[in-house]
Amino acid sequence: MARKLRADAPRIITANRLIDGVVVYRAADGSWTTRLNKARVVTNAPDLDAMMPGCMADVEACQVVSLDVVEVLHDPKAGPRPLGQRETIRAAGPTIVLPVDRPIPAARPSA
Amino acid sequence: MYQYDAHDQALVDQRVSEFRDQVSRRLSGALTEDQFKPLRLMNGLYLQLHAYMLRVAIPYGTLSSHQMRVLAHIARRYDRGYGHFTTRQNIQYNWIKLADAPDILADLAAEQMHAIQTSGNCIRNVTSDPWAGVAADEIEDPRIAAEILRQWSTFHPEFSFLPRKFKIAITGAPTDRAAVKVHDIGLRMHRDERGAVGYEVIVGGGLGRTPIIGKTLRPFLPKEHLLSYLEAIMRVYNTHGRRDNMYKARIKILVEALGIDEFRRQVEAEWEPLRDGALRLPPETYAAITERFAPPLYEQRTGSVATLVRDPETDPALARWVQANVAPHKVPGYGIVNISLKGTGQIPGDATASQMELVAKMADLYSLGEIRVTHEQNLVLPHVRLSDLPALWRTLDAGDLATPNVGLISDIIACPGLDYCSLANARSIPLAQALSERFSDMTRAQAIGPLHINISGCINACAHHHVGHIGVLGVDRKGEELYQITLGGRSDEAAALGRIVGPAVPAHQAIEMIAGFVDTYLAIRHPGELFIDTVERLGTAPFKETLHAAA
Ligand code: SF4
Repeated sequence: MARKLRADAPRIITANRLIDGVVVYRAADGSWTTRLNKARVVTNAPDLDAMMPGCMADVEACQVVSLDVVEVLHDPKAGPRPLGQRETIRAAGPTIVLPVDRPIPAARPSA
Repeated sequence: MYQYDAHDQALVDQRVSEFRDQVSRRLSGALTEDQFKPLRLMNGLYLQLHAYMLRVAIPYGTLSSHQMRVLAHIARRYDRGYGHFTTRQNIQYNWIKLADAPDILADLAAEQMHAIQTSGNCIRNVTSDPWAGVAADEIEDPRIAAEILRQWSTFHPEFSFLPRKFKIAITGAPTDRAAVKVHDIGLRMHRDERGAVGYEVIVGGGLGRTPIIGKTLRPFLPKEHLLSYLEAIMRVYNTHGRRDNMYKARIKILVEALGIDEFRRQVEAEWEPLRDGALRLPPETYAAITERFAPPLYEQRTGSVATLVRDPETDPALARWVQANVAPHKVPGYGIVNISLKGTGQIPGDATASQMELVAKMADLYSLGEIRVTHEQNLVLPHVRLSDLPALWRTLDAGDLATPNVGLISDIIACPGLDYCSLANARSIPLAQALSERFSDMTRAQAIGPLHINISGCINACAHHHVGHIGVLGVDRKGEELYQITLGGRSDEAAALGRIVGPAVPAHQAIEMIAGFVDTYLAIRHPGELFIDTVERLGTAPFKETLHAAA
């Protein structure tokens, strides 16, 4: 969970949506987005603190759970990118090909 | 098969409606997450990285074909068309919505299933030998005692808030397929010198952060004292187990702290007033439960798995599958069919809804409607006529369910790891898939012989890596996923913890190390010697040399 953050490290706020657990990020307009590159990046403590009351209100309003602040790689053009394997997987989903439920053909006839 | 009585059904139905109410109060804001979390955990619902995960109990790993179809229906309707069978003989769904959870539990309850006590600091689902009731080497069906324990522990008021979770496993055969020495309590059935059946009671085993092999608390406990004695153990643990530090709260830490002799003294003192009280199990109680596990009506048949394999008329591919996947049954003319959920490159333990339905159909056609889940994350059809094997094999093959690798190197046990699990340090599944590809040659796998690789994504050890012949633990070193390898672990009757070989390495190196260990073993083994026995005979030194040669 929350590691010690450098004061000026680029950070975002993330959570899971209460109803289905989907990973969401706090956007600049105060909404929650499922896309990390739309998350608002802050680089100083006052900006982060200013975001907090709105996020906490959404926790209380049962919109989101597991609120967390995480460090990101910040590319001013492309937007934030995840730092570390865990956040990469949270942002993009499992790294494996998920099983696909295909109908199963009948057995080949016996030789 | 065991059927719920009215009492069981009422309890489960009541729990579903309670949970429906709790979920709606959570969604409406009447409950905070802090208030709700313990309630959802009591119903097997976890919040993972991308969604909720629901863990459904499969008591002692036994399922009917109807129940399997319900599991398939849940996968398709509420999840993404698949589920994951776990090392606790349960099934987990990875993509559950909180809002759907009450409906899922209602669908489960209609087929006598639930998610109760799959989480939380209570006595969890009792696990057992997946071949219970059919194994050729069995003394008695261990599910009878497992069911007695299930009834005793379900909603036990005194033991619903233990210092920590509590796991019990039981085996009815001398070959331990239930890993009883690495459970909080392990029960090993055997006979005393007069031929009476009872249990060796093993206590304080466990993996996780502090892996410990369980110690014998009582060499022989007569059957009638099962509940009173376990109640005494639970009371001592409940009173003295540490609640101040979750890492020291399991019974194994208490047993280590007191020493087994002092722990035994306290249990015996607690037991004395209990032993002939209300918890004593008269033969009638055993008989009543035994009836519910009455063996099916088998036909008079002949033949054995071995003769089928040796028969030159048998298709060689079928013979290979039979040799690896079909075990001797206690009744002549029948076999125990193990269905591998470890196809080459597949995710260990995952099955699609269609595969589950195919297994259910095969169970109806060929296994008297019964299915088992193994702690190796495979499935079992326990009562198959040997004459049905060719047809069964062809149908399973069409569903990618006939990989002939049960117990072999590619039958890898792996937890969900960082692809799903919020506690993980590293991924498990991609490494398992890569190893399965690397060892996909089944002729070579059979030449290597029995070899268990277990991969856990963190120290919680859900894949039991400490007791893998080759164990792999994922660690996170400054953001890099590395894998720490151990050798020489085993979970059978000679249970032992693996020893660390070399530093933690990235995945590609871990694969090369393991391949090197296998080559070393093939070069130095005595004829017919198993991998684990070679490691035991020579220690890890010859394997470490491989590492230095490779470096
Ligand atoms: S071992 Fe760790 S990573 Fe794997 S499932 Fe258990 S808690 Fe998750």
